[in-house]
Amino acid sequence: MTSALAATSMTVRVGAKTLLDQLTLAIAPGETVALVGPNGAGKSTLLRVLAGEIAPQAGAVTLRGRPLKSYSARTLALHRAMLSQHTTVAFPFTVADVVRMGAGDRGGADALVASALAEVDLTAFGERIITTLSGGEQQRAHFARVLVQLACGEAIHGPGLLMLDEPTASLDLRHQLDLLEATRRRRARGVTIVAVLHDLNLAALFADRIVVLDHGRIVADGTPADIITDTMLEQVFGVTGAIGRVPSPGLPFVLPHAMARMKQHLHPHVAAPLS
Amino acid sequence: MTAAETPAGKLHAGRWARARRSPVIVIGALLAVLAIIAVAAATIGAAGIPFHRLLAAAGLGAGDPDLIARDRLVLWSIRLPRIVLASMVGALLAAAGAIMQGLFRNPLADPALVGVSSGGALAATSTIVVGDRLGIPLPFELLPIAAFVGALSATTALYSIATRESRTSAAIFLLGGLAIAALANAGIGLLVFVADDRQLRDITFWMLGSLGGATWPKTLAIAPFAAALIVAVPLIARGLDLLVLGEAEAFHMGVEVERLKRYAILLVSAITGAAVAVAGVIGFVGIVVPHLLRLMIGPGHRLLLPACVALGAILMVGADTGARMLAAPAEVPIGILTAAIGAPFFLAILLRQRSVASL
Repeated sequence: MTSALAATSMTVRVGAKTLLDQLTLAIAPGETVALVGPNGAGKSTLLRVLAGEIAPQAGAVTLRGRPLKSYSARTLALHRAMLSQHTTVAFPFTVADVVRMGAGDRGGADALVASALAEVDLTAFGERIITTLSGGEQQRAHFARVLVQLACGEAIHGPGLLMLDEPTASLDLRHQLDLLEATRRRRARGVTIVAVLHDLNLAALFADRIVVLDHGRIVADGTPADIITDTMLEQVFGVTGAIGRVPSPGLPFVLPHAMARMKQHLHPHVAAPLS
Repeated sequence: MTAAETPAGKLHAGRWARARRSPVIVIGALLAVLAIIAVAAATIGAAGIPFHRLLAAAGLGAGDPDLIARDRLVLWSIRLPRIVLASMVGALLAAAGAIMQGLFRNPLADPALVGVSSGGALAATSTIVVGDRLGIPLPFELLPIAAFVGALSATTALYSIATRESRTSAAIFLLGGLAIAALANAGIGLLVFVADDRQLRDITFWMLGSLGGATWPKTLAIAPFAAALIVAVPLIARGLDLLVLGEAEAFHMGVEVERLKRYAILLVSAITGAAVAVAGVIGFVGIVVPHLLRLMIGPGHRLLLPACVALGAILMVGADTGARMLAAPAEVPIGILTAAIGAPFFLAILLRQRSVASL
């Protein structure tokens, strides 16, 4: 089966710094993948490369079997939608205006806009100027915009690819779960989802598959139960003895309370790949 | 419960909200105002033409044939070219401001403020002085092209200074623009220093801005630029809307960002250069007009840009008529007038939206 998205020995450098180091990753259609790892591991860079925003210096990325480079920005936008970490709106657009931008210049998006606003719990905020909203509310509005874009693409090319960079960073607990639910509904329809997440517990709840990055390489890749282990936490994050299990589905959860004795940060290269 | 909260109030607000976003209503209303102000401008001046004589001169009424002949001459060779030129210059400058603001995501961008107009003026003055020195008679049509090249160099320099890794810093943008303006003005100063008396008169004109020398040939020389603007507006408006979210987001949503930026830079330079070539450096029109319109009809570029064209024309014809009336029979240079109105306006935006400059 053709991967929804595949990267082969991909390298990204900025100046002398290697952000992604010969990274290879294939994501199957309909999969939900969480990218985790310490700060500076290259998660956001990887997502931006997979979205076509940054071109790698070496290696190739394919989307549905075709080189990413061969897509025009316009076509690409119908295959994947991406939510960035921080989006600022420069002029006083209303929330509904911004959400409607997801539909591009296609008319008749009113119903899509209304349902996306309802899904992120912002129905009452449609006519508000977006910059007057709180950070979390703005982030939800941008999520609604991305959902509209995804729906427009789905109408043409079938279920697409949803990419999220720290989607829950500024959300309260309830809206984190709302967002999780929204992604689950998309997954049920066959949408492929790739998200950078900081919260390992959320990653365990969210994803079929967790990919752990460190220093621009993949150091672990598997199901949440396989990946969230004491060894991984200690080697990658420098934290020990924090793992428990949620009783019914048996998902792991992390409650960090101590740093690893060995100072991972001082000797980052001693960490051997786990997989 | 206030009026706006009652169902009827809400309905009314909805109707108002729809009306102020309806292209037909907004553009129609602006064009009607433009027509009224143009007629008023035609009647006012050193050789006044009262309204009933204006009708007669236009062939719509009877009157003293001698008077009609005189009025026609004034109207055709002085008043009309000036009104048409003023509307085009206002339209070009207002649209240049709005496009630049969209491109740099900064409501304080104005071609005159950040050195784009000065770049154009420097290139145009150099053309005058150098052409004169070499003894080559230069056609007037060359000046808009020279000004375009100067404005393009300034805009390109500004863009490469202010934008790194597809992020534009508002503070660096404004300060970089300040440096470019200073550099261009130093160049103009040097030309003033080496210029002879006749050249000096021409150069002073660039520096203060005036529509005093309006003629039909000048009007024709910038007409292609105005036409290019009208054609380009629908092509770049959607891209500019999405660019409001940032370059990366615009790309994610399907905009060919690099191409859009190239077109926008070329267009801003061309239309600013054209305006500068015929009217010199006139500041703040590009800030005042888009800002007023964003308050009235919202920030969407598909309506904002055409509305800027219309309101820019209205404002410039009005300001030019004011410049002719204030110290009649002498004229106040229009650049002084627009700065006197525009600079406080600029400060008001700055103070209201301190965050946009993030200084």
